[in-house]
Amino acid sequence: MDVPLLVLYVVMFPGLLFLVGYAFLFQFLDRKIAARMQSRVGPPLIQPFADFVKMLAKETITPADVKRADFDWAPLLAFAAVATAFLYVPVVGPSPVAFQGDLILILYLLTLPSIALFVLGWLSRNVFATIGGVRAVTQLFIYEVPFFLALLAPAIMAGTWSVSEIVTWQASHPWFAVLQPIGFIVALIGLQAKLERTPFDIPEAETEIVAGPWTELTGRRLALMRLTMDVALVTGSGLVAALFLGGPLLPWALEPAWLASLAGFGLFLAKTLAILFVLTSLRIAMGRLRIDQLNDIGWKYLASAAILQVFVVLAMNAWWAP
Amino acid sequence: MSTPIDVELGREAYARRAWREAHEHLAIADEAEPLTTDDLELLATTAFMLGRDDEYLGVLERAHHAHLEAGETLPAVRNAIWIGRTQGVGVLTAEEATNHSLSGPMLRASGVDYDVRKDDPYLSYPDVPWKVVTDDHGDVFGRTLVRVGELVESTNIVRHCLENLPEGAIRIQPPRAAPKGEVLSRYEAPRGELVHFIRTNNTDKVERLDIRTPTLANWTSVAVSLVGQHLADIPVVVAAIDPCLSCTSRVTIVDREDRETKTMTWEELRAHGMRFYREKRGV
Repeated sequence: MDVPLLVLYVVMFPGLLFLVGYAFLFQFLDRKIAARMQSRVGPPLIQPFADFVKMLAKETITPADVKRADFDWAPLLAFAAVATAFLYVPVVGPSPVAFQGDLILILYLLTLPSIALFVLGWLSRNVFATIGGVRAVTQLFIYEVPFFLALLAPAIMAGTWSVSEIVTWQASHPWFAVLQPIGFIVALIGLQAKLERTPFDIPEAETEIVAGPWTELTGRRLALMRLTMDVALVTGSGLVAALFLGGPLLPWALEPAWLASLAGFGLFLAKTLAILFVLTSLRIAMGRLRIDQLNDIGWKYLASAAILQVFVVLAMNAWWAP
Repeated sequence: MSTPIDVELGREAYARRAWREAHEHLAIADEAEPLTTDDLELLATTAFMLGRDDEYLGVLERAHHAHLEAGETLPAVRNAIWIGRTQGVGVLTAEEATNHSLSGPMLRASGVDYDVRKDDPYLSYPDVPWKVVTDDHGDVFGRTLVRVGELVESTNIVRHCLENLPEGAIRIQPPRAAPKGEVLSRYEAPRGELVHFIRTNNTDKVERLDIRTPTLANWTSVAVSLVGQHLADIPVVVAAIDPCLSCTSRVTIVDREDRETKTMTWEELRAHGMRFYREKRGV
């Protein structure tokens, strides 16, 4: 790809600009679907963007005894990490910056928001924020293992560490959601836990610890952190759609090339929105778990299921090469 | 004998979301022979979908009573996460409950059969048929069961009273001044036993009024029920008291040795709390 085109890809579409717009749309749909499920009216389309602008304009308060700089860079780092991770997610076709091992890079970058939340909570000098930050990391250790194992299974079967190549593999084979249903379910649950949404909103449990690590966030820091979580929702949905639902590629070739790109983009939208719908339904249907209960569920069932899936994949690779 | 066919057709139409058709079939079947609880719920849903709100509520109520008669677990509390978060949380034995002078659903959820309406009846309660709802769980789950059960009992009491309303004037003119005297009255409020003490002195002003709200009685149990629980259980246990915080916005401290009483207002309590945590916990 040419350099100007690449810059366009990174900054405009499907890079930063599209990503932020789509993240706002995701937040709107998440809130609207939730509202309709609870027989409420829900926000208008512009609400997430209006919230963002409003919070940017608000005063930014730094708690006493906290270094301003640390409080400023943590949300920025989290946002930069998830926005970078999105570059490796196939949107209109295989990503132009793809390389062997970008799956691991995406997983690493998606972990950074949780770390940033822990740092924020720890720095806040506020008991609620500290407890929330510690809970965020505890939760990280619980869901990360099954989530990584579940996403590892498609890589093993496709024999590649590149998300784009896994998508290409699925164009000529059945989707991994069909081949690895256990891994698909574990990945969805892990994604929900990663995004700290009910029933895994333990780090920010507002009835117990105000808002957890978010307690001392104000103004543009809060706006940026909210946006980070929405972008992580888009990136996570895109990743699961690419790994398990075949991503933006059609199994047959389309002519001309722009039609294929358009169809791929449509598929990306449809698949990510379907995943969002599942995640939102989960959020509305359940109450919050306790951290010890999550520990039981995560290590007893989710991790076992993910390991089982990996073994099944290894066995399938040995005896039934697809 | 059109009943089984109509039920089948109704269920089938319901599955197709053909609400009007399903409603017609189920209504015919219901007239021939009363439906089972599950089919009643289907009928209620179809009525709701057709916008017939009165019929919806009526049928839903029948379904609810049928559920109760069948002795099924209340559907309202049949939720895995709800059960996981409330069972075994904030347990109080019957002995602890009585020792901390609990009252209301808190006490009855620990298996103690005590209700002012039964044990010291007032108004028309002796004439109304109803039963005290108790539960042996002793935890937050049990308190929920008791409260839901009491909702049903209360509805039945209201219905019985409306049906057996005695003759007489609806409005009476109270006297301008209360005669000199003292009254201590006990009521069973939704949260527990509510005690009023009133002293009057032949004027239209009350000379002395003391209120002991059930929340005050129930609060102290937290000291026992929170022991060994998780931080995340605190809101669950405290909310299970159904605390009325405005009822406990002041404290009267009685010093027996100095023969002094002192009342702290809400503002003083708040300032005291903040000072306490700043000095003792470094928050």
